[in-house]
Amino acid sequence: VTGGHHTSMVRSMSELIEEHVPEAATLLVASSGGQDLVSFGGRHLLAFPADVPGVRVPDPLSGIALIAHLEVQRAWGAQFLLIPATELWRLDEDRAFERHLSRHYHVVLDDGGYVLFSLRRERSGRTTTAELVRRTVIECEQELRRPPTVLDWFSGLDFSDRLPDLRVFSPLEQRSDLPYLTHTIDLVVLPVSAGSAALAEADRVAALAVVSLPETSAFDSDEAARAVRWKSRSVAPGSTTSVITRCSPASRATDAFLFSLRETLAESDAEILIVTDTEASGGAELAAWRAADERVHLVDVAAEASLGQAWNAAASVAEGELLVFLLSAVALLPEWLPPLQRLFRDRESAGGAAAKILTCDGELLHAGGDVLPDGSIDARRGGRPDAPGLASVRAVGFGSPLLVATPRRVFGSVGGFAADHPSVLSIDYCLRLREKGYDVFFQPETVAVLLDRDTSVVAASNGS
Amino acid sequence: VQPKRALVCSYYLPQPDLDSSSRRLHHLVGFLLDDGWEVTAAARNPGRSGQAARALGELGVPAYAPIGPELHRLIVAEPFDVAILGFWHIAELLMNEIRRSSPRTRVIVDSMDIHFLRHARSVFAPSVQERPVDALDDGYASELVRELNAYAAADAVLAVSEKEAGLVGDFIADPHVAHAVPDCENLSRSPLGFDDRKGMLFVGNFEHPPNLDAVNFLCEEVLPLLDRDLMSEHPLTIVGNDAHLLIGKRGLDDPNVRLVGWVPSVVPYLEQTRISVIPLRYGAGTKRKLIQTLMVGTPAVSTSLGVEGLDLRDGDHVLVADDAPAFADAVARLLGHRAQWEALAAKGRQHVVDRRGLETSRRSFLSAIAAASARPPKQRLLAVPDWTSEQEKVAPVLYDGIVRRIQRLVRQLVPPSATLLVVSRGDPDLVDLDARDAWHFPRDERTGRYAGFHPVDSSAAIEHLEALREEGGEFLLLPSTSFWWLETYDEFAAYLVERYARLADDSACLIFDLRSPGATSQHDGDVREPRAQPAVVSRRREPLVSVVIPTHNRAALLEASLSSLAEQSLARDSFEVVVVDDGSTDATPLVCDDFSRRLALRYVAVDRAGIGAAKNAGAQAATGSIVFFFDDDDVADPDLLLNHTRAHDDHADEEVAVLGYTGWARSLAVTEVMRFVTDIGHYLFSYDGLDEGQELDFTYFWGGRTSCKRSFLTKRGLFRSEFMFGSEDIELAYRLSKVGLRVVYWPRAVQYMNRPITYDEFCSRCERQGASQWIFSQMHEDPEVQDWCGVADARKRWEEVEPMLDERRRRAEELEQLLAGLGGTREQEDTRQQLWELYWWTFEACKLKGMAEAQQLDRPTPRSTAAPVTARG
Repeated sequence: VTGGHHTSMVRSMSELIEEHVPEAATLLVASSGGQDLVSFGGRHLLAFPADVPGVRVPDPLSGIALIAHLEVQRAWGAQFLLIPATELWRLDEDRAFERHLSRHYHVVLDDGGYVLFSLRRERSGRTTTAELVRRTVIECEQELRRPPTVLDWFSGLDFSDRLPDLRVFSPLEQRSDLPYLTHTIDLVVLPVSAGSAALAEADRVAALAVVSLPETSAFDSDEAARAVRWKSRSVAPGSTTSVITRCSPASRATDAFLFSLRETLAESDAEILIVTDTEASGGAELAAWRAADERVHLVDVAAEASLGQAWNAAASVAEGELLVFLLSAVALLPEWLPPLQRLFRDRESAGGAAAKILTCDGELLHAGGDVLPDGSIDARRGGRPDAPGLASVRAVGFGSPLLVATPRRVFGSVGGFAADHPSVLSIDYCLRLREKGYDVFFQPETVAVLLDRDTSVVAASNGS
Repeated sequence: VQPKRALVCSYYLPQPDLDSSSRRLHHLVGFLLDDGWEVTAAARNPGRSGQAARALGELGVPAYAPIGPELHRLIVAEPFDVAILGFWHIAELLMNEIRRSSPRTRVIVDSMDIHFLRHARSVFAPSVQERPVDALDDGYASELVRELNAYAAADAVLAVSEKEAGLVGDFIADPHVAHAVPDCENLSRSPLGFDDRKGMLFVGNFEHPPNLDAVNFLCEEVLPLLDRDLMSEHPLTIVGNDAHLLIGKRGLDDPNVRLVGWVPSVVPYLEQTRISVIPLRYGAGTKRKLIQTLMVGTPAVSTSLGVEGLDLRDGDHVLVADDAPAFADAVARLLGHRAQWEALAAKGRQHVVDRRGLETSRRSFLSAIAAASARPPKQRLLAVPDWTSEQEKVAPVLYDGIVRRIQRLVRQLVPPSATLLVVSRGDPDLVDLDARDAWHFPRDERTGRYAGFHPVDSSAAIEHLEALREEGGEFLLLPSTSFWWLETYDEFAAYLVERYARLADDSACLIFDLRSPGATSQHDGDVREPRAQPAVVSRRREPLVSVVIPTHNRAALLEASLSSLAEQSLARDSFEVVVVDDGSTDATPLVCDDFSRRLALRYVAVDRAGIGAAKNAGAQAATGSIVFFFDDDDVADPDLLLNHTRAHDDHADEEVAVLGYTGWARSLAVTEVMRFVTDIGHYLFSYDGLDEGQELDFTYFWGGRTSCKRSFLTKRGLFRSEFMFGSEDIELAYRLSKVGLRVVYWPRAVQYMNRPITYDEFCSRCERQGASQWIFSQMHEDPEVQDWCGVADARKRWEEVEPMLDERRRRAEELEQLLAGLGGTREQEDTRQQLWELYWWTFEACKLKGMAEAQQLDRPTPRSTAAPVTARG
């Protein structure tokens, strides 16, 4: 970019921000290091990718590392992401990042020179068309116990691109009827504007559900419920998971963790048990969540209780069939829970599950480890976090204590957590699981990211 | 016990719902997992891999798509016991890599169907005579050779029938290498009877030309012969992948023909239709669609070729008819006669259940692996054409991004209804351009698919371009993976530039507007103006310097070398590094992969070809205006490249080359022999008496420390490939000197040799150097060359010194040890003098040995007339 063009670009960006971004908002600006892109006042601007204080982390971050970085920034309070034209190559070259943005966040402005994303989901229960379809897909998967096939009947939203891990297809020709046999496609998505005859035709070919997309891009829960017509559903998904965490005293980090947990569980029926030991635990963020969400329950323990004792106490009152224990030091990537539920559903021998853990710089910290014969451990640190070799479910020795998942019946049968210190808590638990004949599996689709560079958390989280 | 490890690789990741070959590989993966193997899947193409990767991940199978450095790293670090490569093209892509990196891996090629058989039949099949091409051609021959070579290099070949297994075995003269592993299915019988079913069904993947031909035959020749009432009662349904290729075909507008396209499962269609029609007129292998329909209990009408390899009997298991009237008659009979329908349904199902069930296939497959594992792995490498190894091995790393960028540019710049010609090797991703009609270039005029080979020359390319333009081609898109066309077909490139406006000139592709020949403006007509993107998206500029490093099995030294280049004061975007891997079997690819994040590094792999060919490969891959040949055992001073560029700034004439300074790396302890070869004997980098800026003759064009203008090299000549070690630089310089080469000494450009030399090593080096000098001397009769080579009476002189050589080498080694133990005494100086004399004598004797041996080999060394140097002017 020539100097003159760059100067005019910065100037027009300033005008754009003033027009579209509220004054108190935190805005991430995709940058290759040009400080003038983030130096003008009026808003809290951070270079992206950047670490928490706003200093750029080394490029190239890509794929899941870049997504992790974005999600950590969101947990810390980032509300908008601005991508100037000079950085649009990221969307060209990093399809995973582009899909993540388009799937989860909506575009406020795309004028050819800039793309501005809003990173906040509204808490009023409003949802977007993309979220609605994604949620329906997850529910279909729970029902079918396999990924559904999706017919995108000219919805105009190109779900084959938005849902790359599913078989999404469209008819060869745009006609008023569909060429498919009756009840041969799991899920049909069409715009409500297609009319009642088209809806009836969609109903004919769909085996499980039809989504007729509202014309507005965001809508409330009643509209969302009306948009999905279930044709057969054996059981409504029940509250089968209890997510258990222990809250530290109120702090920005606690708020960031709770923010991430709340957002990523917004569409879930999971029970949320939060262990507290003082009045101050959790702070205002927790109080607000409790007030708005009846799934959230507090479990009081003595202040001197160890982590293992605190988690055992919460497990004793949990009602979910699956228990997920979380340390409050992470941001969670969207849709982290369904893959765990799927893993325990599909593998009878599974007694425990390990998640993929990244540092806040997007580096791989833990991908399931093994205890070696000499007692030392191999926690599979380093390497690219989205390397194909780390993208498949596989049996491991243990997982990071940052996230431990186990069926409640199994938890009871092995006597819960026996160790106190986080660094050995999950290793000890997984060893006891395996002694009982259970397997521990690494689930690469469940991803948690450290919120900061706290070395004690890093050490504990990888078992050292 | 460690589980055995298998790699399964094909064009796309194995999926059960894509096409027959993908379904076959999906079954093979399942057999391996059931048998306790650890399986890794890989695919050459990234397209459509998301859902497949996820499904494989759930099975515990890591998926690599597209193939990239990570898979290569895995092959080296954790060798596979077996690699199953689907299709011979994939075998060609990976065979050499696997053989070099993991010699113990058994490579098994799954032929899917024998391509050369299918292609020959497509030309000669008596029922398909109207096509314009009616004889096999050079393109066919080339593919046949490559296919057979791939099978011959494999440890085992899988075929879908005994017939094709036998054919492969016959061709490659090894009856034990090919194994029949039948396609298999596990489908239940349809609950619906004769009265509950309506219609006819054709199932096929329409990327497969025989299926396109079959639908044409069916719709154009068979259906018109059927009674209209029968047709309206039993319409034809067409189901399958890539059915958009059928849109617009004749006969498909019949109201009794329903074009469905891809469906999640063909089973409901098979269960509900009364009969399947499979009128294949050419092809090879066995037909999965026939196995599926019979297993579901839906009778079929097919052809002699359609039932090939399945041991089916006409009238007993299926109805067979080979011409249109007979086929129409069979269809009418089967649709209307309950008794015959029920008999065929029962017997046909029983036949395939007995012979094509999962267990039959599983046993055959595992026994083929056991047989291959019981034999020692082959070591045979394939002579893969350059364009295949270079374009396909390096490109996939960036390929996905290139394709996406091309798609974005096309959306921005090309009208939605336009027709593009896309230079490609048949990759469907490159012609998936939104609503635009995109044809492969070159294109098979008959099938409309990729022609399968490149034009023989520019004239052929131009002729083909104009022919396709006549047929409606409006734009020509040249992806960056095909930029080599511009050099290979230089007249074609000039033709394009002169005749057609360039719509896009991007790092990902070039797009020419073919609609208005002679137009000079960038855009006209209804072509949309590009958004600001081409102006604002950063584009890589051509580097100033290309550092070319040939290397062979020196990963550690190369790492140090690249590390020093990563620390250069010259701006990072002003230079590129081209590493030419001359057949390394060590970690060289991994080192390059690591440094590709820190440097603009390109990795070019060549089969072990020697120093001359390797340097040529590097020079051809280079894009900088200055080419600097750098040794893999040297490290660069931080200002090395900066000083080379400054020297060229000062000496801008095209024919001026720059010689920099080389010393020993500071980290090395300089031994007596190292000191001798540089300071005393002047065997290595001897700069005594040279001044900065001094012009030198061709004998100072020292490889590894000299830079020159790329344009001079490309116009005037490259290295001769006869040289495996040494003298290639001086020989080239000699030829270049005839067209004006001057070498300028520039001591501020400093580098260091980072590898210590021992006496023994240097003796060997002198032998190889002597051999090279002999080769050089045979190329040019010029006394200047003969003098430099010093080969006169070499054999006679060698015979004189040979009896003394071993003894003197032993003595030199003794003196080396003795000298190390002496202090600064007079005795030490005397010993040193003696040692130096022995050094000199033995090094010269070793050179003579090399010359004499080379002479004895009597290798053909043509005189210089063939060298690609043209006279000035």
